Amino acid sequence: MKDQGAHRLSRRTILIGLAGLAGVTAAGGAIAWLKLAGSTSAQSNHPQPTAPQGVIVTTPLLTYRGHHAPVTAVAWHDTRIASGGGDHTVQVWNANTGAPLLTYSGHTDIVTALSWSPDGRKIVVGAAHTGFIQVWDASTGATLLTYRGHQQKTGDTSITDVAWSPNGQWIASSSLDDSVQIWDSATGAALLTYRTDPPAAMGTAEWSPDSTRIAASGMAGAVHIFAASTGTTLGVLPGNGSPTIASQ
Amino acid sequence: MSTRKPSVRYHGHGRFTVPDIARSPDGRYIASDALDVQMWEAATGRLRLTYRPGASAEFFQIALAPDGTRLAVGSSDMTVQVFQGL
Repeated sequence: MKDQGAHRLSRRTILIGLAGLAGVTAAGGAIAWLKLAGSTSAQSNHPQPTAPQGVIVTTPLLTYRGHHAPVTAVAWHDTRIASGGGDHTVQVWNANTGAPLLTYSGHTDIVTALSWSPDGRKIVVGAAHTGFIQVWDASTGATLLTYRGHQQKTGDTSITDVAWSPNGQWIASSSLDDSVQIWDSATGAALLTYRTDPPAAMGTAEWSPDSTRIAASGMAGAVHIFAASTGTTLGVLPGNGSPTIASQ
Repeated sequence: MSTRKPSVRYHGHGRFTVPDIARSPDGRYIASDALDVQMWEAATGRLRLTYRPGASAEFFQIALAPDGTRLAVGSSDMTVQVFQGL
């Protein structure tokens, strides 16, 4: 059992390893979204000066030890934190005390992505390899729906990100199956499938604050912004050839 | 459709893969992680805080508290660590 866990974990490491030198691109993606969100921050293409490290923090306020494998997904809502990882569980716990509240065991592979509903009542969870996504009740742990839209393709259909729209209505999910899919958060009905041209494994999906647009980044490095209702591409931040696996 | 350009490039993690970034609720800061967690100004890229606990580990996903003052980060050492931000 332990060996199997280590093997699966190494797959996750490969998934992350695929990203190569993604840092710069990742940061670029983040700022692109800030700009689209209406930020008027000054443009600065100047080289960074040798920066001081700022405040150094070495001691955590709290360390949660409920997992028995690396923790690959964390999401915070109000006073609760949900975390998931290589032990295939999602655990909900008190952000102030670390007291465990709930353990969800509906997934059979590494938990790679999770997102709270805006009202804090539900959690959506995606995992590696299996390609299915589950929405469950954050208070009871009851599974509310299972979304299988990423399981249409052979090969690795790992879910790389899930994001609940700020208005609560939709969920966007990105996958190594080369798509970002938008679906109804209450019914699981598929609404839209977005693919880049040429198709690329997708690393992240993030909603704009008004729930109308999505910034999705690909393992090919670029960040694509598209209209959530039509799938029309609105803008592209070209990558530097390294995959983008993080955006906000 | 238009081609966009980055307004800031942040190089604080060197050549290490950055598994996640998170934005503070007010949009002022970005937190990014690799072998440590770095919080920097979104507008300028200036590093403001580094979280670097003693034991070496790789960090995966970051989540900020709703008020942005604390951060939670998932680690390869099987823990989630909550620490004080800016």
